[in-house]
Amino acid sequence: MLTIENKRTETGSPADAKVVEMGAELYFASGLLGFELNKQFELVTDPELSPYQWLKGMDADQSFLVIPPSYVVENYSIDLADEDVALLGLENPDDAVVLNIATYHVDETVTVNLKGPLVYNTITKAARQVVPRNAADLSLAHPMGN
Amino acid sequence: MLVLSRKTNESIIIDGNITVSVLRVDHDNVRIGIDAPLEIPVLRKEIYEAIKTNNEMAAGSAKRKVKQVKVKQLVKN
Repeated sequence: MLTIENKRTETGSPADAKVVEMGAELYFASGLLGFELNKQFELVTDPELSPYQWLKGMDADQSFLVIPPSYVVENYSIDLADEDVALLGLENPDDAVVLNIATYHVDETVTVNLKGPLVYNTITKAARQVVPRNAADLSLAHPMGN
Repeated sequence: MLVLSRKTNESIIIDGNITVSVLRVDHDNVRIGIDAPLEIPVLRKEIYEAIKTNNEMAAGSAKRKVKQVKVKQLVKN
């Protein structure tokens, strides 16, 4: 098991959060849950939407709004199963970037999925939507702005 | 649906490389062991369905025009 923690720094600025470089290509060998056939995604940064980014499907017309967890909650810690660690080729938690999928609701509220985060290995470029070992403690629809 | 009866410590093999074993039965609680290749995701169905539904909602919502200012206001700063 490998624990990845996303904590705010002493200065409290989420801007210190690790970000994936613009235009990075993420390869989800297993797709996302329910979207198993869509594997190749590109991270698109829109300055107007920052710190949200678009995870844009390259093999399908399918995009997701994503956000680093440090903009969502104070402390976010996920315990990765050994299988996920192996499939991501993760050797060091520092090589991992975590992003969470946001849903923009009809009433213009936004909720963020903390239960099924996306983990990206910056070294191997492998990405996965994982169900962390501590998923039972994590919200599927964390309301933003609270 | 294929239905099989198995006793404790008996298994079934799927496609020659996935083994599902009955480890313990205690009233309506069955402990199951699954031995599958690394690249085959194994999840509890209710968790899979919940995240799948959320992904579908998120994908659908991404097709609507996101009002930028509104969304930015919702970021915790």
